[in-house]
Amino acid sequence: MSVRYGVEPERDWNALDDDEFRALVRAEFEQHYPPALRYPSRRLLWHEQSGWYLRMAAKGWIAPNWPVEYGGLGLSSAKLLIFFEEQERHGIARFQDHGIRMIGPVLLRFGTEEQRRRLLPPILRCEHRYCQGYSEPEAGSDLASLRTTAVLDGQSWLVNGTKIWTTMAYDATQMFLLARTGDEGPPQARISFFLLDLTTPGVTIRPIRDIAGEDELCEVFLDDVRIPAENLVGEVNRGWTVAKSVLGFERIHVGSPQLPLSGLTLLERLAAARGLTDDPAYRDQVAQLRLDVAHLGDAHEQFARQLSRGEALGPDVSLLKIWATETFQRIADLVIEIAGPAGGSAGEVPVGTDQIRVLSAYYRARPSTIYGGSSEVQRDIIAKQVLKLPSA
Amino acid sequence: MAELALDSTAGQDDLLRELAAVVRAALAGEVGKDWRRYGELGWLSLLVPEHRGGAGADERAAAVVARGMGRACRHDPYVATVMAARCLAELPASPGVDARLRPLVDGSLRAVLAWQSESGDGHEPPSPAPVRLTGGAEPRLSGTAWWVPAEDADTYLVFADRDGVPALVVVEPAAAGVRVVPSGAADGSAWARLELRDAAATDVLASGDEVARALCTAVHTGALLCAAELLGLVDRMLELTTEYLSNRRQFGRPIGSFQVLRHRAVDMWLQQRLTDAALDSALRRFGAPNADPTARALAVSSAKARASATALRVAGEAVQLHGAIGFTEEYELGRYVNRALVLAAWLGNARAHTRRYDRLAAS
Repeated sequence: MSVRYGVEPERDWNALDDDEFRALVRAEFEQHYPPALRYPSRRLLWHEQSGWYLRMAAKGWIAPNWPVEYGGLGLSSAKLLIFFEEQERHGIARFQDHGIRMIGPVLLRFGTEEQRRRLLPPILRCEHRYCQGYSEPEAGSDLASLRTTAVLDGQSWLVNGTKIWTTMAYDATQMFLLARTGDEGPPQARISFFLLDLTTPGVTIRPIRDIAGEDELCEVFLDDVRIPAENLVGEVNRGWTVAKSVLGFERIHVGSPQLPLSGLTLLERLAAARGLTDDPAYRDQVAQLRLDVAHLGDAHEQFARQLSRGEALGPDVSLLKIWATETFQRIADLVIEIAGPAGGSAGEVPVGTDQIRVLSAYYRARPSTIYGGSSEVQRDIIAKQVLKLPSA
Repeated sequence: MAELALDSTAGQDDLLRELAAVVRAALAGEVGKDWRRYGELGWLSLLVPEHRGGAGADERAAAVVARGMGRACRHDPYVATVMAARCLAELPASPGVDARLRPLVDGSLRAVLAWQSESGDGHEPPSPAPVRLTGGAEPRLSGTAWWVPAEDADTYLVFADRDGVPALVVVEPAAAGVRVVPSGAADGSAWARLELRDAAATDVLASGDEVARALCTAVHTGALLCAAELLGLVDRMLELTTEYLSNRRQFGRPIGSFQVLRHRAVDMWLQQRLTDAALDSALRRFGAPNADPTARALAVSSAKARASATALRVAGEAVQLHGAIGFTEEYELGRYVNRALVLAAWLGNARAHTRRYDRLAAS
């Protein structure tokens, strides 16, 4: 067996107390992260940030959430949260890290030993960078109705369909995707989970320009694409379970106060530039938003404590996603309001003595209530699973 | 105290859960007819240190009791009494202080603080105090204390000012020159306006900065516990609403199956959970050994601002989702709505605390 995943661990991180661990992580980021890449206003391409992440890979820090024996840092949930908090606090850009965040854990839980040996090392080396292939033109919130099909043909699956809203597919090397493989039982029981090499013939990627003028979102066409049989993860027709299983930790992450906090920073900077800092009407509004963000932080901490006690998160964690993103939107709306005539300006514009990208929060806030399960879908989940309200 | 002797090997969170169950069971049962029962249960002395004859528990424990009071929609002046006890316990021990503190926490004396001015927001002690103290051997009081949370107390502990120095003075309602003027509250209880015209003071318990500090701690504690009581109201209003949505049928189906109403119920729940998180965090920060006065005030304002706003919002939504029945006196919900109106306004409403939070956070 003796496969060496990643590099030798430096030490037992979980043995440190939380503050000590936080200080070590912070020091590492402060000393080595390129200052020019802090808090980028758009998603960075791989070649712009590969230096940093290859350094992390060489250091053995690329997969903080993976077990030590598979090349990760093996952090407990609480330590992991600290790691990500420090990453956000320092303004470190994320790369296409679905491989680290999702595919690693998926393979550890549902993959075969052969799949782990073959697929984990290239993720650790950042050679395989995954994008997500869930949504389709006819399957958004109603994901289970997806139409992409996969038919077993000899030693490979023949895949046909269209994936959409894939972030920066052109900068990724692999895609994990859901496709229909059966025609019996409920829609969820006819779906399988595949890993696709994006250089495979039949894959066409088309960027979609968004209202912010960016080309981050993509449509991915799959025409008679062959996926080797060994790249199906889990059992045939059980892909829904695989897809859902890894969302737990991701959900607490997406509901961290980081997004709305970045909005508040922009808001206060703009208010200062416009001479509004002490305006009473503005103060009342910003005070309310500050409390909204503070209480998001309080709620986030409650869930983090739950994780650190070793308890699983329930469907109520959707609270974080709803409140984080909707608060972010209210902040972004106030940014535009206090910008006055500059509220419709594209790009960075002079405001007072400052240079400000006025609409940056707005354009990040709008899709946040749509991706990762829209606010409405999250509310449906809570109504059914938490409040147990009756269906028709 | 015997009834508070919970299993001390459990963690604090477990202890609090256990206390919540005890409170709930007690309030559903016999407690409430007789105020002294609260004293026997040890609920009134939670914040009094052990060496002063109390339970030496922290604000989190008292908040559990207050939340239970809210959930049961009790009108008893629990929070007001704990505030008075806290204020006395913060003062150095003396025969005068101890003679009031002991019966206060065993439930045999009903005493509340009288400290508010007419115009203040009620989230912090006014300066100067609303009542003037004069005279040496025979001290006299003149002025009016507003928003006193009981019109039938045995004793009032009056926040007074003598030439710029704050003092805490005992006043009996029957004494000469004392007028207790009741003023109706939305929930059927009454505020008192304590009008003092050259009134005889029974005892000057303490004076100087220690009085201002003790009162400030008491007011902060009161606002935190009031937030907890509001959250208890919210708990029950949400419960009533989800039950109603599940059982009430219109157009041939339970109205809780309509997505608009489901989402509105979720938003009520969301505010409840945010309030719970805000209060939990505030209680931890308030009770931290190294908390400075600003950090404590921030914690209090954070929790009370959210709790007041949530209670009024959830009350309004609960009435709307119930339809006309929710507006009737007969149905249970109405009592909660009226109680929410009273407590949301008491000790600083959402607006007062939001503004103070902003002021303190900026400094």
